[in-house]
Amino acid sequence: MDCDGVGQALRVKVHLWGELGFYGPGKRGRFEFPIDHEMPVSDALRLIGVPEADVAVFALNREVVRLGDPTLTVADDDRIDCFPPTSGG
Amino acid sequence: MGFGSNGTILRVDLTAGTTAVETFDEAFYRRYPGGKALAAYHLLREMPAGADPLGPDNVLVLATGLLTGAPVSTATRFNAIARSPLTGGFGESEAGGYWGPELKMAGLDAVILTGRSPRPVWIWIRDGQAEIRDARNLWGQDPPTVQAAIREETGEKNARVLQIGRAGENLVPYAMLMNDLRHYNGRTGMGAVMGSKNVRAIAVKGSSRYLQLAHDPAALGKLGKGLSERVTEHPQSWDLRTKGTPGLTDGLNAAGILPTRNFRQGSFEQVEGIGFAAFEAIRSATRTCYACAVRCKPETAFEDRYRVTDTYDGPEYEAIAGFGSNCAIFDIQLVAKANELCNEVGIDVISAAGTVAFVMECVEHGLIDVERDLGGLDLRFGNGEAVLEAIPLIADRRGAGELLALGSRAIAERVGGGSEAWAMQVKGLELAMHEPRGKVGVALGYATNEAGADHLVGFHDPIFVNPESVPFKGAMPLGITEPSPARDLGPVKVGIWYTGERWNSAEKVLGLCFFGPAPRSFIQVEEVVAAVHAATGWDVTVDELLEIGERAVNMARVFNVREGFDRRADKLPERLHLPLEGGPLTGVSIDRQEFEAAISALYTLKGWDPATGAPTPERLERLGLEWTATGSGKPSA
Repeated sequence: MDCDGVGQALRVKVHLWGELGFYGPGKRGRFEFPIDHEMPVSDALRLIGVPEADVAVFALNREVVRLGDPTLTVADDDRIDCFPPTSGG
Repeated sequence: MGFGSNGTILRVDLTAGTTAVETFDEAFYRRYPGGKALAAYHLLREMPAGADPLGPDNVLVLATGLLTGAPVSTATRFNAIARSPLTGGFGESEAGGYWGPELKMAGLDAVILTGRSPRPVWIWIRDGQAEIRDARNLWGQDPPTVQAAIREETGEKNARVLQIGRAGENLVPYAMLMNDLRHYNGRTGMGAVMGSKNVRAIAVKGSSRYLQLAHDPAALGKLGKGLSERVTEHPQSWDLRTKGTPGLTDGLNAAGILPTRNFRQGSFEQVEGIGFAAFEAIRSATRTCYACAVRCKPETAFEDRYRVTDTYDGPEYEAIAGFGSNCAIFDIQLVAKANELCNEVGIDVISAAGTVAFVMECVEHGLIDVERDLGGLDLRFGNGEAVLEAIPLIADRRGAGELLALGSRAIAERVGGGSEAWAMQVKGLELAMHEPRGKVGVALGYATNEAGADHLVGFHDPIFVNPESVPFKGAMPLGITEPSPARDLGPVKVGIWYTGERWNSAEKVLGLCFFGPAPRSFIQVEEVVAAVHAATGWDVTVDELLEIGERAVNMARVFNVREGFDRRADKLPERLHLPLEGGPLTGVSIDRQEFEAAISALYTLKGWDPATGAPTPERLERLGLEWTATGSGKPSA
């Protein structure tokens, strides 16, 4: 998948925080991701390659929402933030 | 063929001005292999009950872990243990860096300081030989000067120097120890204990190698090399390497568990001022501890609104949240300056920041008067300049520092007015920067830990929510199979906590950093077992390691019981039973009855009397600790 989305119609801004950046393209935590149509959040995460099980907090357009909600979709120019289950340190 | 230890400890009688080396056999080490276990054993045996924490009868034990110095990432830690001047109970703090491994390579597993020197001294250890040297010229000097002077005097430019700062000299009850200027035994005031003995520093140089102590050096070396190669191939260790602990801030804020305004809120509206992007702009390098491929240590250097040099470590997450969101300061540069000042004077950033935030709230409530009580220092939420002014005053115990140096529990006792409800401490130790209303297992740890509100005594709840997650899978070899919601306090969570406490305690015995083993990071449970086997030749199991951890916890608990602690001390500050006032978890609190029931259930699992919180004779016997029940703490046979 071309993560810079050249030639794609829709683009989603992705912020993978903490250890979730491990799963970003080139282990980058911030990037734009192309999608070819509006889709459920879970499908988008699967395409990006982020294991849903390791996402503790999810925000759509900076609003924290429940990741398991099947009605949640991502569309063009949306921003998604994925946070891992933060532990001590 | 070795068993991973030297089998020797150094005793320094500061009153008599003498040193002696004592030996222990392998059977002793299998029960008390190092770190917390070795230190707690000696503290219990040798400190008379009721000793003044800052008097000559207190015993300060500095103990390396079983694996400390092994060529295995994160095997760098040593424990500083004594009766705490901040809590009156079991004082405990670990640090990484280079001092612990160097001590091991100098032929010693631990140093025990007793008595009190009549004048300032420092201790020089070289390959098992020790001497007490005059430190009158070092007393009052800043840490870099002391380190340089010792290296010059010994002619050893790589001598590893463990020292106190001027806060330790002035007996501030939350003074810390530092080694190589960048690694800190921050918690419970071990710096004040060393200062009370008139010891400014302990420098060490060794010429052996850990592998010379190992049962199977080839296997241990191969394991360590493999781990180093894998460190960037695991999401958690990759994250620690690339971001360090400052990478935690944004996620905790999003989850609503970033302590804000003295734990009133769980989310900081100006988090971007202290978040990872802001931190990255001032980060100058990342450093590491001995032979550790994780390389998580952040270093900052800049000259802008403030000037911060790369002399010390950090700021780590704890300082960022402590002086940032919890004091309502949204300037990462100011936070970095506050962190640097704490390191320069030698005080624990967590207790310093927690005490400052508490005083800020007291000022807000009119219980502390800026002019009358703080000498005009305007400590209010958001006033970062006042924070910078406060830190040296704390170290010198002058002006506002006279009050601030007491710590939040003692200040609450002095000012009254119901302030103990928002004095965010347990047993006198200020809470680490982890909001337990969103992860209630952490609250169990805060409440029941013998040293007070420490965040590294068990697992943090969010990693056990989803059984498919990487950290959950990492915990499964410990026997954890059922998930538990982050805010659940039922039997599954209590069981997870019991396992986590024993495992983390075992890490403290082995000398492994919290950022090494699963479930927090990349070294799998079976690899920890393999490392111990290669180091010692012992046919250890996960269960034996958990029991070793449990034995250390029980010695700490016996110590506290002996010093008059009981179940009533295992309580949270009142604020945590009240609703969070802001952020995604607004309205959430810890139900008091549910929490008390969880503590009772935990005591039952631990074999402790639910009424008193004291270990039962049966549990002590099972752990081979029946000797601790004699009252004197001395072996009964």
